[in-house]
Amino acid sequence: MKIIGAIMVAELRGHKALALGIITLFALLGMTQTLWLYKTTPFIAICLQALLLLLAVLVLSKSLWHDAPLRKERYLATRPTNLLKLYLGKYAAFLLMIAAPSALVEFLRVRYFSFDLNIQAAAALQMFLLYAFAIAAFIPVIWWMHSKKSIVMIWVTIVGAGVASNYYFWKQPQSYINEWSAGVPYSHYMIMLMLAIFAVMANLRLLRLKKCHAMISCALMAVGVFVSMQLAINVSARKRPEEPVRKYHIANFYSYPIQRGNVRAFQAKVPHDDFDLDTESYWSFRKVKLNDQDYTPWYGNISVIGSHKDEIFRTLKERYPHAKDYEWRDDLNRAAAVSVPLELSEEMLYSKKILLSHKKYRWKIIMDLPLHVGAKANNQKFSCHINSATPKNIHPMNRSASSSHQRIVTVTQCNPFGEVNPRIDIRQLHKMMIIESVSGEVFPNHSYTSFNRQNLHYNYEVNTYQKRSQFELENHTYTEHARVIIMIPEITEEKLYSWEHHTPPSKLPDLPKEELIENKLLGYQSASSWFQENPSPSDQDSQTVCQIWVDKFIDFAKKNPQSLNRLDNSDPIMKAYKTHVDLFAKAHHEGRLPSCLQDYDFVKFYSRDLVKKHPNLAHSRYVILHFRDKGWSSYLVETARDMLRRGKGIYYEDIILAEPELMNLTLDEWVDFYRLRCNAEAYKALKGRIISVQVINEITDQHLAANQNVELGLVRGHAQAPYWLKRDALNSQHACFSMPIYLGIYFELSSPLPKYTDNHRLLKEPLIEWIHKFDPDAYVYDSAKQKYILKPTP
Amino acid sequence: MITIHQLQKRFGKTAVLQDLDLTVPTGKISALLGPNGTGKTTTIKCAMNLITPDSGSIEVCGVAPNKLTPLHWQRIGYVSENQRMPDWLSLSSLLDYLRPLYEKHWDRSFEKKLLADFALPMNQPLRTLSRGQRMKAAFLSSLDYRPQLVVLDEPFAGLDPLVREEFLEGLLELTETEGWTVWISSHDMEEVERFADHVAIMDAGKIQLAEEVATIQQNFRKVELFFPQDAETAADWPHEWMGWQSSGRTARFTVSNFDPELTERQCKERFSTLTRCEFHTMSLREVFIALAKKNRHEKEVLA
Repeated sequence: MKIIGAIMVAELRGHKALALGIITLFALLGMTQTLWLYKTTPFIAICLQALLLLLAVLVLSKSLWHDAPLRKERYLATRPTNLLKLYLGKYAAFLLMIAAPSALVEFLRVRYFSFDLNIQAAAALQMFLLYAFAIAAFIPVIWWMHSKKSIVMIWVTIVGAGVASNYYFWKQPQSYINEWSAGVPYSHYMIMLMLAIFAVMANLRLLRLKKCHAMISCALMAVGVFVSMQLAINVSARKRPEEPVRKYHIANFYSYPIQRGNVRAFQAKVPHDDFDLDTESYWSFRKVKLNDQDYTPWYGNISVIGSHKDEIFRTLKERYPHAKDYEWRDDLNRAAAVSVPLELSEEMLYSKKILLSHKKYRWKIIMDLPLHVGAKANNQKFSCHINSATPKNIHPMNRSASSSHQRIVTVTQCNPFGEVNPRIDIRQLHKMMIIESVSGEVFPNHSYTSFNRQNLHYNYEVNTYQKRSQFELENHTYTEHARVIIMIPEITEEKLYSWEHHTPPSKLPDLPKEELIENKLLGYQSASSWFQENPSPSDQDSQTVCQIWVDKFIDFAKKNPQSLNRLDNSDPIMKAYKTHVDLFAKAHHEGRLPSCLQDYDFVKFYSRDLVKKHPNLAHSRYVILHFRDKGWSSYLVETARDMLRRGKGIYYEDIILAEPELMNLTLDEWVDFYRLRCNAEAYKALKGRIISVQVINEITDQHLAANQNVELGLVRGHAQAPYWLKRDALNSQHACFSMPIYLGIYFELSSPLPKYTDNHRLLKEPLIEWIHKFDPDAYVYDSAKQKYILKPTP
Repeated sequence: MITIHQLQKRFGKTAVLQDLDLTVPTGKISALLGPNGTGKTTTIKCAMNLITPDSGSIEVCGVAPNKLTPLHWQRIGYVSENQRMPDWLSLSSLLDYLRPLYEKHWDRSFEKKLLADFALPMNQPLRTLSRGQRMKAAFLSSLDYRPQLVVLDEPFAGLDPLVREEFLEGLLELTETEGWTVWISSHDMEEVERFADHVAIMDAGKIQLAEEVATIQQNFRKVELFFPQDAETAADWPHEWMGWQSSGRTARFTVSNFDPELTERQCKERFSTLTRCEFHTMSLREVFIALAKKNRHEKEVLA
């Protein structure tokens, strides 16, 4: 112990100045994250962290190089030193110089945000361990280098390989939150692991082959870093123990390119019957295998937990029964999503294998505090502080308002033994809203500025005026009764669902590859001027002349898609399309037709035979609609069946439901299909014909228990459906004008409906008046008539 | 204490040590002499495990250098002019740092005595000290634990004459009283001749001569021959004679197996007109020069 102590003291003495610099930087960083939080910008904290890292690396490199065992000329080479003791002595000094101040700063930071003592201790310990691990891994890396040059080289190589591999992994399929966050940067732990593996390699002396050329050494190092990264990813992506999995026959897939992120969003949804009124749920990928290649996100999937208004409002109502309904902008994304390489378009997928996780959660109020300066609250994971604002930390949108009346609600998350995934940020883990406790008004949406996602610290701005809707700003001054509510989702259950499909690559339809057209405006030319310059050839002209003209027109349409808006049948374009429909259909089949020429208005000229001649037309959404409308569904049945089994059934729903008997699907497939597409159209098409009334009603009732789908409820004859109809009509303009249609179909009304025209606005008031008078209680479902009829008077 | 056998070391294409054989006797002051660039430091570094030799064997305290354990190092003191010290430490901190490494062997009273003798600033970082002061600090940190083997590589560089004198006196005293083995390398032969018991003279990576100083002084003589006319030239030339020079009626050479009667008889047998023969003692420097010239001559003949 004496030796270790002496070495440690010598190290501390030897690096007094640098240690002082490190401690000062830690202190400054701590201040920026607490007392100066509202006076500094995140950029300052980032700069301080970078400087800190630099100084720490400098101290470590300098000290370790001096006594590196491979350096024969080192001072201690002829002294009675035990390497382990030397290592421990130096390690203890580094812990005191780097890890201890960081732990102290973390402790004070967490303390500043009023977390419990156990959280303070845990956070400090985590920070200490993080640095302890990093330093322990760092020592052998430097120690087993044989020259100063190789240290420089190793750092250049590590940084270079790190950047290159980061770029590589950035391009790879990653966890997917939104369109602009395709990749996942390395976490601290990944870097630590990489360093540790690298240290072991260095220790094995793989990298100091004396006769090895420097370039080969560098290449070996780079490969080492890369392999370490890959290994780290594999380790971190290792799956949790498998739970019971439910297998499904039908699933829905949707993919779309995100050219800016250079990835393709890939979404999937499987049918499920696991509805629960009291909880909300979200989906994520546990495994994604496309064309036999694993695209499972290596950080695990982290779909944003959506916040369903009803669910949140229900929770809020439990505490504030008089809370008023409010406008909610978030929408719950029920589909699991992952990003895959941009090139992996639908037509190339011959094999899909997925494992989906379905997690249920409940919103829970964890904090409820008055909107007063100085108010604070905390629980095990979050703390909330309310401060007055300074002009600097007001959201740019609200800077015109007086800062003295503004409040900053700072919500901090403490994640002592945190998530591996650095992408998970606090916004996904909580909801903040303000409620006027007396009037019951609720203000759910607030502008916010994030301070630091990595450090899990965010602030919210609450201003004296509130953004009420997207289009209008209404002044609102919070009263002294305003309260800040913070809710978090609590995961209650997780279930796994699997689905897979294989088609031999040879049997894949020969679809043209999706053309990714850059949205460049190359000089606008109107369609009429183009037609004046290039008159359409007549039927009498030769095939070659017509073909040249069509190609020229397609080229024009690609460059000027906006010129093709607002067409009618008398338009020369429509006439030309009709005249040369065969050539346009051929171009459509070959994938040369721009999307603006694939609209229903154009494809309505296609005949049945064209689909036989050009089979790729069967995959066009508008061709499907056209065939359905024309009653030609049977022509597309085979394609629809194939695509349904490949997970693309949603596009062919009209064909599938038009003549379900022709589809030749198994009952299991139909049941899965209905679970997935539980709606009024499917109910009407399948009830009794394909799925027995009892089974379909059972599935529908389960679905309606969680999703109050008005039309499905009406077609099913659900007792509550008329109430939902009235409620929706009063809440939404769209539902208001849909209501008469539903009433006409599903009700035997006691009084006639008011007349209305296309110009809804003129008759909105009388319609609303009528809706107010409509009494759902007066109606009962008659299963024989399949309509709601007036309850017989007793 | 140290035995070196057939040691070879090359740096690139240059052979620095060639089949070097050497023994450093226990309890004596041994000097490794030779001009700069002859391989003295390389030999010492090989023995101290600072350089790995290409071939040959070395034993230090009975074990190979790479097998020296902390226990062995507690009994070895090594000071080199090339040694990089932890410059950021003060002497006081350096001694605090080193003391625990030597455990019971560290002699605090001896440390105090040496500190008093050397009069070094205790609290200044070593990098701020002069070259001589740093050398003294190196001595201090390598002698305080009373090592049984002291290895000094060019230790006098930068030391002023007074300190050098004091240091040598101290070293001699300690060697006599404590039975230390001292192995010292130097190119300053006059200095070494004053205190060394045993010397090894190196040239071009080889040991030219390794003997007790007294033996060398006894065996080597400069012989001066006087002739009535111009000096004669001998027909057969004993192997032990080297560095023949003649000018006018006088001739000189060095003999390496001096025996007054034998040498005089050999001279008279070879030179019939010889009138007088005188023998002069030689310094180590003169011996080294004579040996070096002989080597060069032999190389030229071979070439």
